[in-house]
Amino acid sequence: MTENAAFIITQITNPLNLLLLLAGNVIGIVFGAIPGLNGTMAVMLFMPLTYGMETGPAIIFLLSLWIGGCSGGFIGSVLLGIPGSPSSVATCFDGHPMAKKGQAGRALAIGMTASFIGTFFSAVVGAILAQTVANIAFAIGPWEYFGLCFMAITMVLAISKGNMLKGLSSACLGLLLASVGYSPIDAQARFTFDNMYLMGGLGMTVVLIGIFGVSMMILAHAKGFDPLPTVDNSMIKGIGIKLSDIRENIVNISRSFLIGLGIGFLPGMGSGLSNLVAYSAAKNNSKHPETFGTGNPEGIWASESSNNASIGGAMIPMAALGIPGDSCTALLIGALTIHGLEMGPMVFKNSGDIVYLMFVVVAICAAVCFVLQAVGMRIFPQILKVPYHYMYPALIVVSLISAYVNSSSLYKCGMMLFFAVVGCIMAYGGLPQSPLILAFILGPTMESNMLKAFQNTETVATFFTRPISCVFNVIAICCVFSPVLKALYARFFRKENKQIAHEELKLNGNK
Amino acid sequence: MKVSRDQITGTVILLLGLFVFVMISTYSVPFRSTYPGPKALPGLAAVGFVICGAGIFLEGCKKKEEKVFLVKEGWIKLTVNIGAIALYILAMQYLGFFIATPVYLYFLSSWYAKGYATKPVHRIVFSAGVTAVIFLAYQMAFGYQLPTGIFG
Repeated sequence: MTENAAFIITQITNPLNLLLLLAGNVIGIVFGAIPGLNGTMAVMLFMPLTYGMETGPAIIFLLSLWIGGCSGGFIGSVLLGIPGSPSSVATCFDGHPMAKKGQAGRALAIGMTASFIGTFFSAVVGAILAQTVANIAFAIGPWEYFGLCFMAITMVLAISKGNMLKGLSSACLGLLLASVGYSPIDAQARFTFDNMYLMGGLGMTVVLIGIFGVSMMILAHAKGFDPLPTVDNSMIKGIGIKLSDIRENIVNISRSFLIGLGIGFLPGMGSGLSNLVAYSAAKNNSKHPETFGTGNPEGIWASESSNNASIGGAMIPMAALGIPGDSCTALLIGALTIHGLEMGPMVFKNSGDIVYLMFVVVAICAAVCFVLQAVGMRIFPQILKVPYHYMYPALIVVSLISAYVNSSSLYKCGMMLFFAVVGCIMAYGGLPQSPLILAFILGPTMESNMLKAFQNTETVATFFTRPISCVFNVIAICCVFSPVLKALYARFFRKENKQIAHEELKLNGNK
Repeated sequence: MKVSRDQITGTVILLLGLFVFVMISTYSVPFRSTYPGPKALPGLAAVGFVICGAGIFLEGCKKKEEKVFLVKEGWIKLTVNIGAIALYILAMQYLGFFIATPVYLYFLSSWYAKGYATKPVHRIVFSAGVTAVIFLAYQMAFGYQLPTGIFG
């Protein structure tokens, strides 16, 4: 890392880059705070703007949007009781009751401090571990890469509770969209309908903003906007947090941090899951579990330190393996590819300076977000009062312009509209979004590695005879069939339990 | 008999799977167990669509009650929104960004603001302001050319 220090210092001391970092953090916090929007959408919308930038500033801007979005999620959770993003769902449970009791300032201060701790230290751990993981990754071949991609997609399915078939359909749609254009190795035109705009495949901006951005906004209008929230500034009185608060919660924070880091590291999982797991763990280990949900600060410490720790966790497989930890890192991988950066073990050799810059930027963003949130605490209620009738039209126009500048063609805007309709159909059918994002981004990597693997050994057996590949593929298959396995398990044990109960009854009867 | 949302979704997904099967059957590179070729990825998606589509359809048959997705007014709003975006894209093609964008923004903000107390002058300032910010950010700062239409 030391040999890259000069490059990193040049980048982070550049005034324009600092301005981009600050702007990205502010925009990210606003997107994170407003329910319905999130950091991923901020990255999606502003990504085309970075295509014309140098790699360094582009990375700084995109990462600062992401970190701002992750940090800002707790604002809506505390002040409105509505999570700004899925990563702050658990923050609502105790954050909003605290605000109702007149402790909004303290709840917000805990949120921003926990966010800082989670993001900053996870970036440090990430920077230390990523190179090691990359060194291990040199030993893996296309079989393992295929298995990793397959596992990343299916692990998201395993957590789509009661929605497995819909999650799988969404993943299949992602794979189908990823296969549009010329196929790798064989150059077979697929689903191009002799249209030159489809030959090179579907652009990430067009598909993802269309399906998730534009459709969300027009559906929000069709369903009727919720009334604007009313948050009283007088709720926020002072910060009310001391160093002793951190000391008292150090075990809870450390445990939640490790949970967040671990879940973030798992391909396909992210802060949306880690905050809930950490919250449950905090509740189970608390001396007063009955106070959780009534305004216990431990809940906010757990949720916010874990969801932000997932950032560093997700960056490790992103940098070292080229495998996203969550949907936002999937977008970042796509954006970095456009800047000529192929994430994976070789990236440390080819562009180590950029990788370490990423970790440093995340750590700086954590500090900047903390300061911005501390200074702007009284402005938070105003962020939540931005009228929908101004916000959504502006975002729809920015989305369409993003599609246009991507290729200087209005055809792409038409395609975005088509995908907005697809997004509406998905919402109608209740299909989840995350599997589609991951499958769409990982589809090409998965396919090219699968084909390379077959070119090498010409048999499917190798996917299961190589130990690491076997583990990944077996986990992936188990994830796909998890509902069936769960049902079989439940049936088998129910039968066994019934038999035991029956025999016990018999025994008691004989006595 | 009332058709449930899941039944419609299942049917659409199933038909999509069949469509993908038909499409990949035309590819020149064959699917072999020693090398699956370009049919593998869309083929995997198609198998998934057929299985999941059938499963979702069957699950839908069991459902008795479900939440309404959109009321009639909502469907109208959705259709008008899609139509308005299509018109905006066409307007950019012929009239260019500078005419199409403020008009579209004014229309949309006025329509979305129904039920809220807003003044036309605020919406005009908003429409012109957003147009100017997009122009400054995309064209002036980053050098992207915005649509000029037939006047360009």
